[in-house]
Amino acid sequence: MSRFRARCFIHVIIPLLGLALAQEPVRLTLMVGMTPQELASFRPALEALDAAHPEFVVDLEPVPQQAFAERANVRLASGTLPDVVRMDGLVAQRLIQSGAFLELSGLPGFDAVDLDDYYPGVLAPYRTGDAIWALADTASPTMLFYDRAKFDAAGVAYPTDAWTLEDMRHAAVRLTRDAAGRTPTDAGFDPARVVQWGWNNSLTMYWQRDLVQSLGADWCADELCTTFAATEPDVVAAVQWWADLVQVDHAGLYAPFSGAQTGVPGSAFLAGVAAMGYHGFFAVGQLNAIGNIDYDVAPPLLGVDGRRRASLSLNGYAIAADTKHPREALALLTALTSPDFLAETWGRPGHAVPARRSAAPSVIDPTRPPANQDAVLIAMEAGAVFHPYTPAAFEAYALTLDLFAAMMRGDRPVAEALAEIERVLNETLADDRLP
Amino acid sequence: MSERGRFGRGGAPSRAPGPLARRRERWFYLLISPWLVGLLLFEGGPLLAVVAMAFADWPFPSSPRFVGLDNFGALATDARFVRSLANSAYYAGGVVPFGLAIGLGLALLLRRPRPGVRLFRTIVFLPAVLSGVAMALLWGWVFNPRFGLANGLLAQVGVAGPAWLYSETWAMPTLILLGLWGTGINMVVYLAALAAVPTELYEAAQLDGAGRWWRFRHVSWPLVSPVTFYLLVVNFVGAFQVFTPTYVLTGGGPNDATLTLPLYLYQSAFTYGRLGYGAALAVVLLACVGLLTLLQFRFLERRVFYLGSG
Amino acid sequence: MRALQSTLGYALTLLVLLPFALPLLWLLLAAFRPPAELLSAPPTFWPERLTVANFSESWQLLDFGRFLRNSALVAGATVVGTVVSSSLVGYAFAVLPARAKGVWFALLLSTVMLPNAVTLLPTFLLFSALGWVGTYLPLVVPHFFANAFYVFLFRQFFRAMPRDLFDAAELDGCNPWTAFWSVALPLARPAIVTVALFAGIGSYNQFLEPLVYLTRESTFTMPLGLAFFRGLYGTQLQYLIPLSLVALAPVAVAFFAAQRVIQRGIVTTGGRA
Repeated sequence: MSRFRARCFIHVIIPLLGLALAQEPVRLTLMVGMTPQELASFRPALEALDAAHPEFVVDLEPVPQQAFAERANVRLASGTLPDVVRMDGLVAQRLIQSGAFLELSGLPGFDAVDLDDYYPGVLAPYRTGDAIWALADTASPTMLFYDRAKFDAAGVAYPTDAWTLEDMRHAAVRLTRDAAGRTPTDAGFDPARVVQWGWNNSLTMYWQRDLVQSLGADWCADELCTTFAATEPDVVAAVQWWADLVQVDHAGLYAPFSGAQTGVPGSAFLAGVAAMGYHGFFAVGQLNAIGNIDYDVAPPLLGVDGRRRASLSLNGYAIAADTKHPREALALLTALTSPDFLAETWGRPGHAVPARRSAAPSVIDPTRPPANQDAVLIAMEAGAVFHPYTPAAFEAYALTLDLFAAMMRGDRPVAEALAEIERVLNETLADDRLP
Repeated sequence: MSERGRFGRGGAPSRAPGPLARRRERWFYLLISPWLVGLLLFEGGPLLAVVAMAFADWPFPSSPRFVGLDNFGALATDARFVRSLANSAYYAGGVVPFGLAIGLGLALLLRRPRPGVRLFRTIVFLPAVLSGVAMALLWGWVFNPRFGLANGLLAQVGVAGPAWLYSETWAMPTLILLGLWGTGINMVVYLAALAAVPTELYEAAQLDGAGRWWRFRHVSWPLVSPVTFYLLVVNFVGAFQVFTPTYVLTGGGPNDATLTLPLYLYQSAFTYGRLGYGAALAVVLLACVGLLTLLQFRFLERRVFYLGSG
Repeated sequence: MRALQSTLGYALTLLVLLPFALPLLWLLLAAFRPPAELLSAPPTFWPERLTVANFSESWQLLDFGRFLRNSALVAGATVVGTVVSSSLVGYAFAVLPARAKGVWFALLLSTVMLPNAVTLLPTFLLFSALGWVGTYLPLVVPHFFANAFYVFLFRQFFRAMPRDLFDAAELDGCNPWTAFWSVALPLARPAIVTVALFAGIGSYNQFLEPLVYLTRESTFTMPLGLAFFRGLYGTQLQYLIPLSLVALAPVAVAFFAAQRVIQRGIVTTGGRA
């Protein structure tokens, strides 16, 4: 009996003790805001990543995207923010300002990250000065989407990557139809009975600075856009251009997303009643899923200064400032933003465009629409996130939304509405201005 | 017949409670102890915290700082706050009385066990428990000015329908209609109350030759008055807290026409990041609704007929 | 004459039901329409094509079977706690005397007058300090301590009952606790079923609390699962609608079953010894 006990001790207890005393893998929590489709490709890739990194074990906490801010707020307030957080650019900017995250550039091992591999527009929102607070993983740049069937029916040539805003306007007029099939230039055209619009939008919010810049003016008086100068003559002229698209050419929408004009909430292009428009890359997935629109894409339009401008929606990872395992968290973060992981999880399934040049081409898949997918890469080079994104920025948006709609619809003259908009914005954003 | 402020079951208020009454009072506290414990453990702290937050400037997620009555002072001059309070009152005034009336009417219509009645009741009840987003989508379709069902039906009778949710005058009435669509809950409570009415009373009335209206006026109505009072109070409290339809359907627009107090509160606290101001708005909401409820208890409860007190 | 009255009655009923039924019908049809029809303008009532793909595809995207079971679990526990505690407290308010009763009742009602969104943060801090985040405890336990709305409802129901019943019980030597269990509660069946129904549905439809308290995907409830279809770039209506209807089905069934109890009259509440 005692010999059995001795053997037990040697062959079982000692090795177990040894295992217990050996390195325990660190438990990291990873909170992500994703759609079910994105989760479906993310989960297996994360498991593989986890298996390849024995120094940590990842607990995944998925959150619905629309409710991400609520979850982040309560976790932040209670000091229980997960170790690594993936969130969209807007939420990230506000959290960065509150000091929720660890400054990355100071962490050991961060110099291994090749920052030059990233597109220019994707790093800026996560930086303050030289400090880097988060790393972008994917982006959705705006591109020009167009409906080939509508273009063919109207006999209009497809957009090219040399198109300017004026080219767009000419085509949009020819692509607008009322219920009787007339275009705005035909006699008897009824603007109240438009069934197809040439362009799926107009100028509806103060974040669309790029649409004004492409016409040679700029309503922001500073780089971070917390001071507005919207009553300069060139700004008024630029805004008037867009208002004319709606009121004179009848080719644009003053209510592009509410459904008031189209009958269906959401984008007019996706509803099949606009011939072309700007959309983020995400629309590719939606259009392919719906499958009833024969569409293609082109790079964003050229401005009067010959520059292309696109806006970016970003997603990125950050590390909680009070994490207990900064080294492992950084290891996880760099693994999640490595080119291979990005290509495998985001690019190839077609969810979003990886924010790194080395991984971005993985999003091009010739086996599915659209045809001209190289436009994505061009758009990424031209992309920039719009400013400002402070809490006051949302309040400013809410307060000026109706003013823009009234301006586009023609209820208020452009110059007068812009003066009011400028006043409201400067007042609301006053606290956000950096000294 | 309100017992509040009195001691015992009616009669002259006594100065010193007798031993029996004292013992029963002890039982009162014993029986409400689950609520008291819960108040202490779970509800009381957060309630006090919100009141405390109202006296702070808290640009969440930065740290809060004490500012005394500043938030309330800002409130007094905030035009959007006044607008939101007026909008909430408008909404409540529209939804509550009509909701009660329709709920009672439906309960009376569907109280008898006839074939198909269970399905009918379910059809009325389901809209009240439908998820917010599905409901929003539905209503967006029904009331779309160009293609929706409502204007389609109106066009059949030759009336040009309004712009509903996109019109400043019609947006709130549309939301009120949406609130009335969820009146199935009132109906269910009334059904339960009507079921508890002793049937002998109806039989006696019928034997005396009383018609349907008399039976309603003198049997049903008084005997469900406790529940009518309940629904009045509770529906007003709920109407001043309605949030999801405004958040999902209109976002407060057009031009603040549907900006209700809970929505403005939510926006201030979370979207604009002014948590202290949002808490102050919450305290004001509490005060308004509390006052309204107090008035109802003070002036309306005496008209409630409680069978038990007879 | 009777037959005519009855037919007219039915016609009136159907007319009254139309505003409730039509939108529900549209929703039901929408669940079977391909995404192209749901998102295209102009919207129509009758589908052109029908498909069941929305149901099968959505079911596979997340573990909704599990979410339904979790929701049922939480709702069931909530119902038990709510009914027991609220009926007890409601009985006390209705029947027992207390000098400060008005004050207590006012306090009770005031607890539900603050919007959920603001009290969420301090409440979360409390539960976080207790270490309950990540479990079902914050969703269930508070309901064992009475809910103001349902206490109020029980109070009304008990006050509407003849007082002699409870007095007789107490004269017979029962204390209020026993009187509650053996006399009051059995008579309050319509109220109990109503409260059980509302509390269950309320818990089942809750979104904000599960959002902030549940962390692991395997513990998610149905509303939380549904919310995943509302992304930053648009709502996936073709999945959200069928799933909303699937989520609604147990509620409809529960209500259908509960009606039996609610509609049956209580014959013996009146003065029978």
